[in-house]
Amino acid sequence: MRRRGPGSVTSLVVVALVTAYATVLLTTIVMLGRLSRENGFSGATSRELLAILGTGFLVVAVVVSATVLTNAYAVVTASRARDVALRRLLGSSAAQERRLVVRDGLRTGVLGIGAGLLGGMAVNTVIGLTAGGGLRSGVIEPAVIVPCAGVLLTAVLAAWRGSSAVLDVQPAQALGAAAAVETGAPAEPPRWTAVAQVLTVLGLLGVGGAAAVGVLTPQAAYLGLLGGPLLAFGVVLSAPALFPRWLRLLNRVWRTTPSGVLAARRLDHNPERTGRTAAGVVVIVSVVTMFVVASATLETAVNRMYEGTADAEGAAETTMMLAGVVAVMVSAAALISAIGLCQTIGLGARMRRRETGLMRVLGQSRRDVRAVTVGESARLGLGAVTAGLLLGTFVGWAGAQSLLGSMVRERVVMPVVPWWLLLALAVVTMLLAVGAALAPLHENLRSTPLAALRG
Amino acid sequence: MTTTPVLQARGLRRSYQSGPQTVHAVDGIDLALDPGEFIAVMGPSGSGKSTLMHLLAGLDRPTAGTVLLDGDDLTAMDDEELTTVRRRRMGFVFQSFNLVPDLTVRENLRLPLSFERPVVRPDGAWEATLADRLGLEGLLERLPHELSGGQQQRVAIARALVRTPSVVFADEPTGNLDVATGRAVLSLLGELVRGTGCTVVMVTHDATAAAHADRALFLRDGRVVDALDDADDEAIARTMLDLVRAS
Repeated sequence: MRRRGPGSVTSLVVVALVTAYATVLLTTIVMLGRLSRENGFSGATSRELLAILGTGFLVVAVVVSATVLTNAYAVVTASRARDVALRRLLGSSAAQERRLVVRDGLRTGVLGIGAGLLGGMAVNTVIGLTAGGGLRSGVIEPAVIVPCAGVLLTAVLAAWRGSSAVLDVQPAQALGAAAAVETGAPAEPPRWTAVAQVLTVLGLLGVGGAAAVGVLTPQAAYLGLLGGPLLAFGVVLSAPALFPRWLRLLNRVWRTTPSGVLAARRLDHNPERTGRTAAGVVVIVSVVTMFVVASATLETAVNRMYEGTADAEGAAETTMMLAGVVAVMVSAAALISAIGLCQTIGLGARMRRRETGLMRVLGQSRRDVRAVTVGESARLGLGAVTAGLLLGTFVGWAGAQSLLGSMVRERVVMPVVPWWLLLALAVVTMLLAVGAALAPLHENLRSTPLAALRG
Repeated sequence: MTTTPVLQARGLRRSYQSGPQTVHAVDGIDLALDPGEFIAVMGPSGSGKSTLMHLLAGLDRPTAGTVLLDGDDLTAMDDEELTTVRRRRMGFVFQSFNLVPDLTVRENLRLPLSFERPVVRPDGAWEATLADRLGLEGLLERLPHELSGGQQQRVAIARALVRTPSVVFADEPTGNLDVATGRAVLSLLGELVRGTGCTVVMVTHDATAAAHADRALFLRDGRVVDALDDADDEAIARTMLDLVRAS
């Protein structure tokens, strides 16, 4: 396990990003709290608001990175199956192999956290220097140890969970002849497990409940904070079972071309892989959508609340700053997810080398190979983006409702959906998904079909 | 009456660098195959038989020499043209069946047709004939993993023949099959190609498989060193043994 493969680098980057994110986030929240107090803008509400938002962001960041890290380890384990088989043949036990992966997860976690802390502190210093006046911020908040512990735990758990495939590797796979006869029996469609069902339902109840209770008190946001991560986990675990059905529903609307049929069939016959990749896209899109919708809704509602009052200007300024902070933080979360997405899709495409080679031997043109790949990732991307937009809008509105429902006259906050932002999000995500699939293909297509068939 | 050879090789050479050495995988081969011929290409490991097949199929470029298919020079074609030739005029059967696991048997069968732009409609009658002769009726809607090894290989043969190609290339087609199944599969292949007049180039190290061929060519160190016509498995095995002993 000494060679650092692409999976390890990704994990390191993700851990470092999340830690840096947490470091900057905590310092920024403290700074903003101080600022709004100086502005005289109702301290209690804004502090609570910031605390809730801050915690929310962190939790989401950790959940997102958990998905990405688990995927990363699962993907690395799959690609190293032959190495592991060889080691097993030579006498290493499955438990030993798994322990090696977990130890690597721990190492990556520690290194990543160290790098992230340094990076975060550097950013905080820059912010402290450039922001003038009373906006002096510390270099680091001691509370950051909590998210760091969370990230480390996540890294180790992800390594443990993602490496479960190591237990299935048979030593005989190292003997080439046996490997040649794989017919790739597709698994039966995955069941929607009880755990996934419970988590999803609880999550939906938590989020919906928060919106309902929000009519009475802003403390309802804490309920949403509980429901949100549950829903996130539920979605990720439900994806292999539910996503193919969602795709099949969308297929009825989609025009089918010959390449499209092959693309749709491939997605349908690999529900585990499709679901896992889609889960990543759904999470990134819903997280970004959620914050975009929540902050737009909040901003509009808060501005309306303070319209014509003395605090109007202070309120507007704070909400605008808040929106700015939200934008930066959402970008960080999106970046982490984007890395994971590109990696999962990219490795899936790389594992297709043999099949691509076969198709080209049988006479499929390069253009057609690309068309099928684009068709597949476009279908997956579109399905996941629509699901993410719907989910994110609901959760975003529920979050805003839970915070401000009790304070507005009508008791219900109107959802504000900045459609052009969301359209940009959809387009960028699709481009990422398709690009991540085409990039390794470019490599595959450059060599002769023979090379791909052999190796 | 002389027939134009369907597949011709002239002065074929293929060399490549392996570390500091130059390996001559194919070292000057001339070949002419008539329509309907079934030849076996044999030889010990490293004799160049697989490389020769790849060159003849346009899957690899020779260092020197030409390959003509129905008079067309494959060595002068670019990748797109070669892809088209493979799609329309060649069939392929591999050792590990190489069916697409996500497609049904019928869809696997039609794969070379489905790659055509604009899309070509399948010849229902020919498809039905192939399915019938290869015992695939009733299996057409199944997925590859539900089929036995022999059945999968028969699907591969049907796929190879679905566009009535000029040449079928078979690379160790019985390598993953038990003896009885292998024999059955090769008999079917032999019957079908004699019926359609297409040529078969089969690479194999198995003397029993080679006995199904009209002619057996023996390679060593990249050159053709011997040939047997209508030989039985014993004669072929003996020739192979002499070949190995002599090196």
